[in-house]
Amino acid sequence: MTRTEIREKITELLSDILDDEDLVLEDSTLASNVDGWDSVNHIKLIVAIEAEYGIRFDTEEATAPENVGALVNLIAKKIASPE
Amino acid sequence: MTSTALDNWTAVRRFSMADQISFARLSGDRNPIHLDELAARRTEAGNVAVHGIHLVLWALEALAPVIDHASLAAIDCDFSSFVRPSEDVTLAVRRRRDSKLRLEASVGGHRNMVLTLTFGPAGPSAVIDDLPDIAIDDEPLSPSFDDMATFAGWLRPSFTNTDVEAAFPLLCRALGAQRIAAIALLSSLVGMICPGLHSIFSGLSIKLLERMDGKPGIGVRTKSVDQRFRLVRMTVAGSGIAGELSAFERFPPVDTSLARVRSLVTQGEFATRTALIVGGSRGLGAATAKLIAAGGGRVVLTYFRGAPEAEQIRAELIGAFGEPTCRAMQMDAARPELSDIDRVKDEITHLYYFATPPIARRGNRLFDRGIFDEFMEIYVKGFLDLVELLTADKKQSALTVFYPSSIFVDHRSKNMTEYAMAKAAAEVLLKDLAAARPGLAVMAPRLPRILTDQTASVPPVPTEDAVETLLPLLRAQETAG
Repeated sequence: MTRTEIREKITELLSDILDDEDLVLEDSTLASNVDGWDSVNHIKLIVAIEAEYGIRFDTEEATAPENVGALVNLIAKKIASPE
Repeated sequence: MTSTALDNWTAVRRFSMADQISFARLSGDRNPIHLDELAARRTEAGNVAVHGIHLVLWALEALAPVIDHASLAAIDCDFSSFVRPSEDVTLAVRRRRDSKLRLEASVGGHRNMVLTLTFGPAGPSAVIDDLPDIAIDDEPLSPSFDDMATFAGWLRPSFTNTDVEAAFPLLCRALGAQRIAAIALLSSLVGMICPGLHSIFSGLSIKLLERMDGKPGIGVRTKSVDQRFRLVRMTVAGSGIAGELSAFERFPPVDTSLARVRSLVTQGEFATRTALIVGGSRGLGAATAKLIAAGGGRVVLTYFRGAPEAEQIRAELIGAFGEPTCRAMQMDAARPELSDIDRVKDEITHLYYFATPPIARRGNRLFDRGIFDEFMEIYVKGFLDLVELLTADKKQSALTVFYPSSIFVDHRSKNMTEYAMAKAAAEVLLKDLAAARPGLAVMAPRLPRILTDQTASVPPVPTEDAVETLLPLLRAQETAG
């Protein structure tokens, strides 16, 4: 799975959570740049990502990514070597 | 679903405290976040919050003239932020597609709830059998995560169908009072039982079933708990509905216990201080009051609305350290001249200024002048007025000031612009004040995000411990004079 595919999947999941069909995420996008991407919706996104990819984040990992690119990297790493 | 009538359809409502009480009585959800201003102030909501299920039922009732409830097959709802009484909440159609109707409830353009209605054939009947009855007490429960993980039971309504019909007549006529009562009970389930006291309703997804037979009420069983995010998911079935709901358990109000504070403070280390602690009834102010009192100092703590909380701390400190240790007085930090400050000012050696309006704000505007003015009124004007009052005509003009600035001046999340600007302005004021008044010793550290009532978010965001952050700073203060 490529980074682009992961980012597109994150966009799809977050778009559904935020009810925003026009959502566009770049690697540099910060949660604070996206309307509605608050702490509760972030958890919903993390739970949706876990269900989608069959992976699991610990609390620190779930809140640590500073932007979308870092989250994509974390997911790619988890998919490559599931615990 | 009716089509043309929905074009540009909106409904607006302002919930009142009478509505809050009425729905609490109806649903049995008497969680203090919905009814008690003081208790709600110590939660992420910051103020009394409208019951989420009340919003849902109001929306469905308001839609009655324009949709065909009889063909309603499913209700999905996502609660994204709190609605407060006295706010105008607007319900509007966001999207219609195939058999789905998506609506949004918002206040001032800020989304509070997304409600998705699906129309089509009703689902087959479903119940969760053989469950023990659960009583809904007057006080909400606060179960552990272990207890929540194995939770199951049958909730019976304590109200009659007539009560529900009076509150939601059109809805009950279309879908049946027993079914609407079961939906109302979901509020009690979350707010009173699981997670109960510290709950925040996140969302629900329920199907409307073709039959509504069997005993009144609803069966519930925990599907999963996720302790990482303090999240509980439950399945529900009965009275013509079946589905899932999710709720967070927020952090309980911050408690800096005196026992812990005493174990960290050296006896007598603050004995020379008589501290005026503005905003001392909770959060960092309350923690500071305990630290100084535990170190042998005397404190005068001020409160604006939290008289019971201030009295609780005063009684606790007097009980532990004796009568002279603590006094409490009411003060509007924006108008300190209206307080009884004159009666204590000659004794005050240290000023700790924790007064603040609610910090978190909502809205999509980059900058709101009204919010900025509110911060400035307290962080800058009120503070300067208080310093003037404390030092004017004082026998000894020396005053040591602790003013908490914030790391948000440099690094902040969205919607913190006005807060950070006002804190930055205060930093400038403090610098110039210290230069202009040789008698003042000023410390204005940029504090990290510290766990307080205002920052105890769901889900957990990394925060620092109040006592461990404050104690070294109090020790490092240079005394004026």
